[in-house]
Order: sequence, then C-alpha cells, then structure tokens
Amino acid sequence: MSTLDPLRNVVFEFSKMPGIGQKTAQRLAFYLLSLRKEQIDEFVTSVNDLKNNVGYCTICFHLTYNHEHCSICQDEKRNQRALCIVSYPKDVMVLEKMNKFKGLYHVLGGVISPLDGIGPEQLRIKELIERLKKEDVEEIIFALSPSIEGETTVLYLQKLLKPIGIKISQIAQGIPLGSELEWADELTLGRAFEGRNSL
Amino acid sequence: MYVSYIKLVNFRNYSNVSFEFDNNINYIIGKNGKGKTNLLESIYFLSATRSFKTKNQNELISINEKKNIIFAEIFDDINKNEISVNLEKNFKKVTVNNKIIKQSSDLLSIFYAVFFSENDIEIIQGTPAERRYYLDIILSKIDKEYIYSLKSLKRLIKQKNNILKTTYNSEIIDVYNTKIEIENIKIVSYRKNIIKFIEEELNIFNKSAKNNIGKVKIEYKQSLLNFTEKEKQTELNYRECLYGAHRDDFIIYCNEMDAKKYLSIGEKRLTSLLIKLTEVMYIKKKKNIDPVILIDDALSGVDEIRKEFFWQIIKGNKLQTIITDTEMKCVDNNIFESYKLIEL
Ligand SMILES: Nc1ncnc2c1ncn2[C@@H]1O[C@H](COP(=O)(O)OP(=O)(O)O)[C@@H](O)[C@H]1O
Ligand SMILES: [Mg+2]
Ligand SMILES: [Zn+2]
Repeated sequence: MSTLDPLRNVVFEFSKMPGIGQKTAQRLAFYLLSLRKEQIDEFVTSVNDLKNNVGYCTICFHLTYNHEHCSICQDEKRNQRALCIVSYPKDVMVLEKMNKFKGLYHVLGGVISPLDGIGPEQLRIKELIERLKKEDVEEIIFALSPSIEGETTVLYLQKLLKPIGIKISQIAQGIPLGSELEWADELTLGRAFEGRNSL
Repeated sequence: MYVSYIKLVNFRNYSNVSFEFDNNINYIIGKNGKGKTNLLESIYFLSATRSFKTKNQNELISINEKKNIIFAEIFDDINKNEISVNLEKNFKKVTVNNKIIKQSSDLLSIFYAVFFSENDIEIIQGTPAERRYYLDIILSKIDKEYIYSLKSLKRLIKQKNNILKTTYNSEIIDVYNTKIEIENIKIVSYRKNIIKFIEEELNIFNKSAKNNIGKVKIEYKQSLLNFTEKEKQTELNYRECLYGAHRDDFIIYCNEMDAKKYLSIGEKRLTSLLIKLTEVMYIKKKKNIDPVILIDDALSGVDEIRKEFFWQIIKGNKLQTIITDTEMKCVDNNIFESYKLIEL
C-alpha cells in the first residue's frame, strides 16, 4: 500500500459529489489534511449527526431533526387549512425565509419527468391524497418550479384533486421563466405569493 | 440601421482583418474561396446569433484555433452600438455595449440582417423541417414569447415521446396533450400570421407586371387541432408524437399550382427571393426597423428583369446593402450610381 492511497481515496470520495471536479476534490482533500485532529473530529461528528438524526418528516416530508415530525408540522400556531405543495425540502427553506406563508407544506420529492424515469408513483402523491382525507385542508397552493416539468406536475395534480373540491391556486407572477425556485430572490417570491392565481 | 465596421479574429478563413462599410451600397469582389460568403456569415451572425450555413458553431472558428471574435459597430438614427461575439468550442458569448445578451430577440432593435442567397430556394423545395425553420428563425427574433413556446413544445414532445416509448400511462399522456395543445395554438397562430403577411405582400409584388409569379395563396398545414381518441390511438400505435407544430408544413400555390411540385427552378428561385423580400417588408412595417441586406453572389440564377425589380426596391428603401460577386457585373451595368468597392 502506497502512502498516497488514503489521499487518493478522499479525493475519489469528494469527486463523486455534485458539482465537484477532480481539481476541487484535490484541493478539499489537502485542506482536510491541513486541519487539526479536533477539527476533523468535529467534521466527522457533524456528518454523522446529519446522517443519523436528520430524516424526513412523516407528515410533510420536509427535513426533520431528531423528531418524527418537522418543526413546521409541530407548530400549532400555523394555519392548518392551507397547504403549500413544493418539490424539494430546499423549496420549503426558501419559502420559510420569505416568511409570508403561514400554512403547512407537502414535499413531493421532485416533479414528473419521464426522461428521468420519474412518474407519479415516484412522488409522494399517494401520501398527499391520504393527508387530504385526514386533514381539514381548505386551500392548496402550488409552488413548483416554473419549468415544463413543474407545470406538467401541477396540471396532473390539479386533475387528480379536482373531485375532492378543494380551492387550488398557484404562485404565478414574479418568477423568471425557466429558472429554478431556489434562485428567485426573496422579494420576487413575496410578490409571487400575493399574486397567486386561482386555477 | 447599418454596420459601419467589422473586425474578425480567427473567423473561418480570416485570421485578423477589419472592414469598413458605407451606409449605402457595398460591393465585395473576390474569386471563389476568397471568403465572400464567410464575411456575410459573420455579419449575419451578429443579428441572429447563429449561422445560416451550419448548426455547429465550432465550424466558424478557424481550423487550429480555439476561439474567435466578431466585433462590429452598428449605427441607427440616434445610437452607435457595439456588438461583440466570442465563440469557443461549444461556448458563445454575445454582448451589446459590453452587456451580455441572453436571447437573439434582445438584438432585434439593435441589428437585423436579411441574407439572400441561392439556397433560399429551399423555402420552396426544402423539407418541411427546413421550411418551418425559416419561419421559426424570423419569429424567434421578433418575439420572446415565441421562443418560449417553441422551447416548451420541444421539451413536452421529448418527455411525451419517452412515455410513449416506455410505460404508456394515459393519464400522464392526457396531461402532456393538454400542455401541447396550449403551446401549439400559440405557435400556429404566430406562423399563420406571418404567412398571411407573406401572401399579401407577394400579391402586391404581383401587381408589377414584370414580376408576376401568378396569384399566390399560402396554406398552413396544421397537424393538430386537439387530441381526440383517434390521434391518441395513432400515436400509441407508432409510439411517437405525430401531431403538433413540430410536424406542420405550409404549401405555396402560384396560380393554384403547388410551387414545390410545378414551378421551374428559375421560378422557384424567384419566388424564394420575393419571399425573402417580404421578410424585409415585415421588419420594416411591423417593427419599424430598417434591416441590413446581405446578398451573396449577386442574385445569381435570377433573370435580369427580375433583378432590376429587386434592385429598385432595395434602392427605393435606402437600405444598407452588402453584395458579393466574383466579377464587377452590377457595376458594369451601371445599376448603382454610387457604391463602395471592397476587393478581397
Ligand atoms: N473554420 C475554417 N477555418 C479556416 N478556413 C475556413 C474555415 N471555414 C471555411 N474556410 C475556408 O474558407 C473558404 C471558403 O470561403 P467562402 O466564403 O465560402 O468563399 P467564397 O468567396 O467563394 O464565398 C474555403 O477556402 C475554406 O477553406
Ligand atoms: Mg460564396
Ligand atoms: Zn412536516
């Protein structure tokens, strides 16, 4: 075994991560090598904590820490009658930072995209239907990305939910065409929520 | 508007040259292979951010080089604008006055060029895809909404094709069909509009007896109104998206004869030239923009009487015109009172 094998292993692990090329992976590995033992321990502990203690909320599928239900679902002061549907947990974070929407969320886990092998069965749509049977939701607001896939998903769900007879709307104005939700600055999103269109 | 100056670095056969143009008639002379078409291609690129020759922009970079530059100064009634294009392998940056441009429609009011060449005949006799492409390029320059609808349709078709080929799920297919119908209506109405304009203008040209190509009628062949069981079944049988603006075509009738089938080569050439001329009219009338006219090989293949009609229109509209030729024919014939000569 060569002395450089551990370095190569770490570079290899980093290079598997999204957006990280060979060069960056090397830089990160050398950075780790330069750290003190306590700093490394802290790093390893937080990675373990992330994996062991962060999971998906069993109600809305947002991220939750140490609990079965996320802090939003646990918060009784929130409006239990409004449900905002998003693709990913990061979308919940963007909307929460905006601090305009006071209801609950449902995270689908993606959008319908046959090219990526994602159909309705791969998303948490069954769970959504179950939730709507149990909970007293009066309004559903879609906040999916304004891409073709996002729009198709909204249309699919809209048709699916129509028989249930809940008021459905979609955040509409202010989001640049074709861009991802996480890029929209908080201000434009604020306006988007106020100007949501009834579908 | 007119282009007063252009500088090319590593563009096709030009390693580093610059040209100055007159705001009137410019006459470029050069033997075969000297780079006449390449020069016009570079000017056209500034307007459309794509080539008329190739879809692979890497071909525009000189062999053995990594990147190129097209830089130009464009004047309109009030402003001077600097457009610069930088190409690298699979990379394109277009700036106007040092600000990055994202869509070719953003260039519309700054620089618009119409390119005339023998290949225009493909508007008449080309494949449906080539004919649609001609309309799509004009409309994309004119309207951002059109680009957005086209892109959306393309993506929807790609996704739907995937379901047709793999797990046919009729609920999802219905959702895609609804979305496709929405974009389809928009695209078709844009195309029908411009086709109507072309038809009307061609019939106006017809009034000049010299130019008569017979009463023109253009029919848009729309493949999709809406998805009924019949369309859905056919698509399921073929496992492919068969209906929509991506499959449409148009037929040009001259005196009730399908131009593609019945016209002579010369007549097709003339008709295509006149259709291009209607593009000039469209931009002038609808967008109030004076386009720059690029003419490769001085209208070769068109008879003298029709050429004269064409030159009269160009001169009458005082449009900046850049003509290429192998010999100084136009000049010998005293067609232009004044012009700037550039020899390659
Ligand atoms: N990417 C390129 N790099 C170098 N030379 C090129 C490139 N593309 C084309 N050429 C050269 O340009 C010449 C053709 O120029 P063109 O403008 O078509 O001539 P013409 O004056 O006949 O219109 C050919 O000699 C060809 O070798
Ligand atoms: Mg040529
Ligand atoms: Zn939750």
